[in-house]
Amino acid sequence: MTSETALFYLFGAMAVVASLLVIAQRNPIYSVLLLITSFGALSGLYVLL
Amino acid sequence: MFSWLHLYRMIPLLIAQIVLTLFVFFMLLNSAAVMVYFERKVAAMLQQRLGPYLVGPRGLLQPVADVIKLMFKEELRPRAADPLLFALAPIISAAAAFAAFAVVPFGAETTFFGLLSDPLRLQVADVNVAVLVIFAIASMSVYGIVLAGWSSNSKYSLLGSLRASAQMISYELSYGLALASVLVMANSLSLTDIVNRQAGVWFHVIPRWFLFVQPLGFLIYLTAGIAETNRAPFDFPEAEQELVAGYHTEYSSMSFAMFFLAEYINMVTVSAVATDLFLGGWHGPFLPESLGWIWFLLKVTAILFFYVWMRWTLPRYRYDQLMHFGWRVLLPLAVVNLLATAAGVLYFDL
Repeated sequence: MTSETALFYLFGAMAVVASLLVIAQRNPIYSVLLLITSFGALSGLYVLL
Repeated sequence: MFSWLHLYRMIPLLIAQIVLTLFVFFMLLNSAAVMVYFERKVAAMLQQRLGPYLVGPRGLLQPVADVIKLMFKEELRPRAADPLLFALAPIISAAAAFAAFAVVPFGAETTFFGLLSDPLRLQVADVNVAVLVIFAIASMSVYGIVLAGWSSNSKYSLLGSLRASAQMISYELSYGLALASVLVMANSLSLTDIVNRQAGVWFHVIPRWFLFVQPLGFLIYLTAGIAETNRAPFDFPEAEQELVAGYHTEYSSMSFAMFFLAEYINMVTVSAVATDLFLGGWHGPFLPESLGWIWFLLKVTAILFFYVWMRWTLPRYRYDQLMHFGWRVLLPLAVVNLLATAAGVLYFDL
């Protein structure tokens, strides 16, 4: 496995987990922060393109 | 291709890079301490008093005393505060402040008098979209402030942070447009390229700094920069008379120190970026290229002095005046400046 694939799975997992946690929060502020985390992981994926 | 021999040859450069990164980090920490002393002394000068003079010779050890005091104070947290975000907010603020400086070049390539085989750039990371990175990270720092205000669960903090976010978002536009007019001139997003475009002189006297072709852009950048870093006369987020201390009302000890640190490092970063964009970075007369960082330091100090000077000269604006100024004066000016620059580059090949 190359480092690029590893990073892809890392960012992918981060994006999916963060997005799931967005809808699992009671507190909207936490949802927003997790959404930002998810966007951050997505931007990591874009860098890998 | 990757090979061990190649890696072996990289080691001196790698060590140099790590040393450089640590150097920049500790210099930024130091600069905050120096700035506190500088600001208090200049303020005292402007108000015809002495300023700190008891700790050490001429009060030079005052920042050290302040840091020790801050470290040994009790860390307080309101019972109603959100524990996680309350702890996270100062970290985000400080981290964003440090991260922005990573792409700022502060000197020409140097081999340290032949110590290294390959020349090393005096810049932590040479990113080809450096300006964009700075802009992105500058907008990150607003998260720290907003979270600090919200998680403290106090009226003053919340109002302070709301004002801060409104102000930073409004002024970021003019800030970005002032940057863009320089980008159009330099035809590059890399700060190193932009600085190298400003080497040399016109008519044997005037340095080829972008300040002289973009005077309006420089003014807009400085004004928006002061507003971005929440400094007087735009220091609404922490207006003492109305908001106690604004978004960091509930913070004490080291977490307060982090906000303080972030504010001063942001000032240093804005000044360093202004130097690179408008004042020719490390280019200047009388000094060889390898000592260009002295020019860089002098220019940054001059802008920082201007910052402090403004703070102790001008009274704070009213909040609606700030919004009026940002949206109806600064933004149109910045747009016109950008359009004029673009037209100049297109038709007159500036």
